[in-house]
Amino acid sequence: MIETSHAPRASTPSARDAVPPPNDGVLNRSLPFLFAIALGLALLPVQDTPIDGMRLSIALAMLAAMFAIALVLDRRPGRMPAWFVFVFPYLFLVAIALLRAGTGGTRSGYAALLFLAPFWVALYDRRRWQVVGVTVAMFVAIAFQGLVETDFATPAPLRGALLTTVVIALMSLAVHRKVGQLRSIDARLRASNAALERSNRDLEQFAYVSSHDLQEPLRMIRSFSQLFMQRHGDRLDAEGAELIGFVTSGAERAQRLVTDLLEFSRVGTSSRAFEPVELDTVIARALDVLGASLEDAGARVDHEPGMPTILGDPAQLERLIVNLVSNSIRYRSPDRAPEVTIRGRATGTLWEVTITDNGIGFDDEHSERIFKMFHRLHGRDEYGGTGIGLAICERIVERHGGTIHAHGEPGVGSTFTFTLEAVG
Amino acid sequence: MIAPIATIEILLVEDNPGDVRLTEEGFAHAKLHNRLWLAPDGEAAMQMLRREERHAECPRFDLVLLDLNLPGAGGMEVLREIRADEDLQTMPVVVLSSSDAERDIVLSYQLHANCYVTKPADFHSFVDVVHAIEQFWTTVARLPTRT
Repeated sequence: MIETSHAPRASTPSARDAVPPPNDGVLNRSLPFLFAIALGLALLPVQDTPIDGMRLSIALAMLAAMFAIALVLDRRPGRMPAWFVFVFPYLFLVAIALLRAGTGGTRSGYAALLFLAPFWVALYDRRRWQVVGVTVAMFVAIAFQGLVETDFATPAPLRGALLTTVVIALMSLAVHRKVGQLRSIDARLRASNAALERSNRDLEQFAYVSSHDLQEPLRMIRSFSQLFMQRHGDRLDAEGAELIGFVTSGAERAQRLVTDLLEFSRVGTSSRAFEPVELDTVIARALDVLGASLEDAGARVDHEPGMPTILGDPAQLERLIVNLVSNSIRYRSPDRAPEVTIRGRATGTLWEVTITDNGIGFDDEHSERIFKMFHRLHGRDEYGGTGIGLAICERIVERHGGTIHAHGEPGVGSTFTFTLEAVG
Repeated sequence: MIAPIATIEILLVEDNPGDVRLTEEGFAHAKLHNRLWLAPDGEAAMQMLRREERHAECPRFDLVLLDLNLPGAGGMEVLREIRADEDLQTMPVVVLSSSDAERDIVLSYQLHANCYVTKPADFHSFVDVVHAIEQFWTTVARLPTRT
């Protein structure tokens, strides 16, 4: 068990470097209880013995000092000396013995405290023999110091002490085993978390590189085929012009793909903090951005104000609306002017925003697939688009803790519904 | 290049011959009294700006068009050096980059670039943008007097 609990930490040194050492906090939580019990016992009805003020104060001072030391060390597990955890229970035993001598309180109560020692060592993931060692020491204390009253165990003190010790040993070993497992799980989680963070950073780097280095050659292809057409276009025959046209449109498409991919990856890696955003303002701005293309398409957008303020990233929310509305315009019906309706309504703590159009629609069996990356329902020559726009929408909504759904009817139109959490 | 009368001296720091060509197209369209000088990397740019050694014939430039993606030290380093140089720090620098990454934009302004322009993908827009930069910096904006 010990091997498994230590191996993962040793095998992932890089992950360990990146992550601060775990704060066990075991003592943090258990110590106050332990000391409360000890003090409570000290104040239990004293039998015939008079209180020995000297011993009692030494014992209390010792316990208080140990409490303080343990608390400080527990905050910085890395600096806790290995021997300390091992020695600590013995010091505790001494303090308890003094406490008992000082007050003459009940013996079985002290013995109960004594039983905690092996668990203490077990919680700290020391070697198994150390857990057993402390248990044996406990046995010695119980058996030979007469810490257990005869009526607590069996009439034969030695046998009673042995029985108790075996039970405690088994239990503390079980605890030890469980702690070892939890630690190894913890170490693995930390390692995979560090790996995830690394891959996120790589992705961001990739996004940056594509924004910069991939755009440049594409820009060259596109610009120079345009310049070529401008200078030498009149000397080309129809076929020549068509071939150059393929070059230009191919580069254009590649460029759109790169920008969209970049945007998609940015939604996830953006570290911008959420702020209160008025949805009405976001929608108005998005429609403003779309102004020219709405006009070109002769589209009418009906946005009814009265949307709430939500906590979010204003730029991403604007992108969400732009993508959905431009989607409606792109897939407009050939025989009627596009009409887009934007409505919002409260459903419990959520706000549901619906964008409905009168476009070509789609079959509902595709309603989940259209959010997938690069998934397109139509040939690229029919309707432009890279197949990333709706994937970006889904990612934005999910990042804001909401969901997005689509519903379509071929020839009638599509409806996109997403939920967002309103502030207050 | 255009023959100077009351010449505006412009230094283009750019390693990509394609972009050099496109920028020249933009200036040819404008047909103003300006002269375009070319530095293919950051080191050459700094030498030309400081008129060192074999670049002693260079004029005092009125405007620098700076690409960020340069071999060697890179455009940001050039910008930093220009701003750290007492003689050059007032010189207007226009960053002309193919990157639209937020961090490039922010860093450029932090280093006191006078403006940041993303190179448009479309040839005609590119020419328009170069033309607009040229128009603004040579006719609208007042530049510090050459010394």
